[in-house]
Amino acid sequence: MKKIIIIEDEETLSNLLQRKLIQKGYQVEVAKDGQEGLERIKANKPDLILLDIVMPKMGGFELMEKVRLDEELKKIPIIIISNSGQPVELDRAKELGVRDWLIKTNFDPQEVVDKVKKQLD
Amino acid sequence: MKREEDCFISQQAREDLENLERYIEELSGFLPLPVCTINPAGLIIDANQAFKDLTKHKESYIIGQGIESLFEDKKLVRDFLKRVFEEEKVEYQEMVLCFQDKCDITVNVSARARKDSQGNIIGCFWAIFDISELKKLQENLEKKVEDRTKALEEAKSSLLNILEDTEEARKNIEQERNKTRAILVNLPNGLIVFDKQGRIIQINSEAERVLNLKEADVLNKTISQVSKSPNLTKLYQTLGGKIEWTGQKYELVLDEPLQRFFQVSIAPVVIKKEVVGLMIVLHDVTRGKEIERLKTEFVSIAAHQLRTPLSAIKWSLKMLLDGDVGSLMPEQLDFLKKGYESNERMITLVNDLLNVARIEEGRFVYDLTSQSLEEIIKKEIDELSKVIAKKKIKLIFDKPKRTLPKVEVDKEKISIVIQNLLDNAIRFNNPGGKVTISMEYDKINLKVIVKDDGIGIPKDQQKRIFDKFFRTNNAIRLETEGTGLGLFICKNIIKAHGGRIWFESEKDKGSIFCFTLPIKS
Repeated sequence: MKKIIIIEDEETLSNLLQRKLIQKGYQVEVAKDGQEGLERIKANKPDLILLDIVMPKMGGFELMEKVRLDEELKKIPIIIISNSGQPVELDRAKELGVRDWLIKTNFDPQEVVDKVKKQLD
Repeated sequence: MKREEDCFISQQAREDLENLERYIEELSGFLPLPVCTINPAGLIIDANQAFKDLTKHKESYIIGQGIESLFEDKKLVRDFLKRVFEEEKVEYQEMVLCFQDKCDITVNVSARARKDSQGNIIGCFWAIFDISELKKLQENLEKKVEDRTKALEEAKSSLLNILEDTEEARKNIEQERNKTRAILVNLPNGLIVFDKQGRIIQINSEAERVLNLKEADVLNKTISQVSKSPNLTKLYQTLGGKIEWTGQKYELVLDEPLQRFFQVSIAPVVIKKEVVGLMIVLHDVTRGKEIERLKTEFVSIAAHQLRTPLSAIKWSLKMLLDGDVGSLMPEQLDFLKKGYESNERMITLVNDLLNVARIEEGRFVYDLTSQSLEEIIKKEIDELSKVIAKKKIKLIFDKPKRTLPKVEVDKEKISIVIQNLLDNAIRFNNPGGKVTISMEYDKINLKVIVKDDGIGIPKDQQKRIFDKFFRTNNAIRLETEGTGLGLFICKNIIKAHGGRIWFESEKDKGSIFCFTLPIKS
């Protein structure tokens, strides 16, 4: 069973997504900020990271910078789920090797699941 | 003998006397000066020819006349005569001769008393000089002098007037100059005036303040000669190291003492069609810039903050609708669907606002990749299928027969354009109406045409159709929802791609919207 971690401070969204992904047969855990997310990634080594950008304690970009320093962790595919999406951010995400960038209002949970599937299959 | 002798002598004497009388008579007849002889009673006893000519009287009338009867002022004549008898000789008394025909003439009278051998006065000679011509001449002269004087007076007064006018004009000019100077000094814009040689000839207080310098330090110097002012140096750099009239506007950013933004323009100083110098105008746009930035930032933050709860609503409703948490009754589903659609509209609105904010920040079209426009159109038609069905619109995609060249576009943004144009064509159509989308291309451009037979755009509102937040009257009547941002966004996207967007429309007949995108070879 593939392991996914959702790092997202908006609980409604993470819970909905978690539920949807579990239904689709994934093992899903949730972290509510970047700091907690980083600890979980290190501990559980997930197969995919769904990552928000603007979060308390540690934001998405900072987390990615840290993950990149670890040879093993940096291979984990990352999909950004954010409400932001300005060109500078997209540029930086590309440099950090992000696989996909989804603006939450423009996608629904099913579409997120489809993107996840595409990465893991 | 003696008697004979006496007789001879008296004969001789008589002859002599007769000769003398004739001589006197001839002489007095010849004399051009009118002369008469007067006895002590003032009666004329003799008058020569000139006298008769002048007075126009016959001798028979004149002789025995009182002299005063010939003159206008009788008393003057009597007094004069009295003086003559007393003083023996009086000269040049002006009198007026009077005639019956009233043509008076002015004369000068001189008289001398006659005496007998014992020294008794026995009358006088009375001579008249006609000075009427002289008088006339004199009068003419006087009149001339008077006229001249008058003319001179007039000339003088008009000269004085001119002087006054000149003085007033000078005052006006001075006042005007002071006014101009006051305006320049108090102008909220900075102003630097240069002569033809590029030397600073005037700098107003705002420019002094902005550039942090004193007029006295820069006057009659070129900018390159002023080295102590960093702000002036910066201005010079902004202008490309030269002061030239290009019609261009420059943006100057000064960091000292506070960051300020200026719009800089250079204009020629023209006097009587001749360029006598140039002036630099510094217009402070800091506040405008700041407001613009705050507005953009606000919209950006607001849009981002709004998106989070909107996503939560969207996702929750979507999961309920998809049956992820168990099946629902048809009525419940119906309500949820309506809620979901309203939320989608809200998301569109927020996205539009965010797009406008980005357009205004100048960072909108971004990710250029080679795309097939046909694919993008197909995808957008699919997305709109529900609306199309609902309004019973017949949508025709008039696909090109040949494969079209690909274009370098920001896929997401071009999708927004096509989505907006199609959405408008459907939304502002009559139920059962027709929408056609077609494509053409030539060597340079690829063209997309969206045609509908809907409500059209009233002529008087066509000019504003691409304006931000603008919606036509008939559009508002038909659809209360809508931001008026769609076409504004479209125009900016197409412009950023180097293309062109335009339309033809007639009220109640429909609209044709076209846009082009350049084909990169």
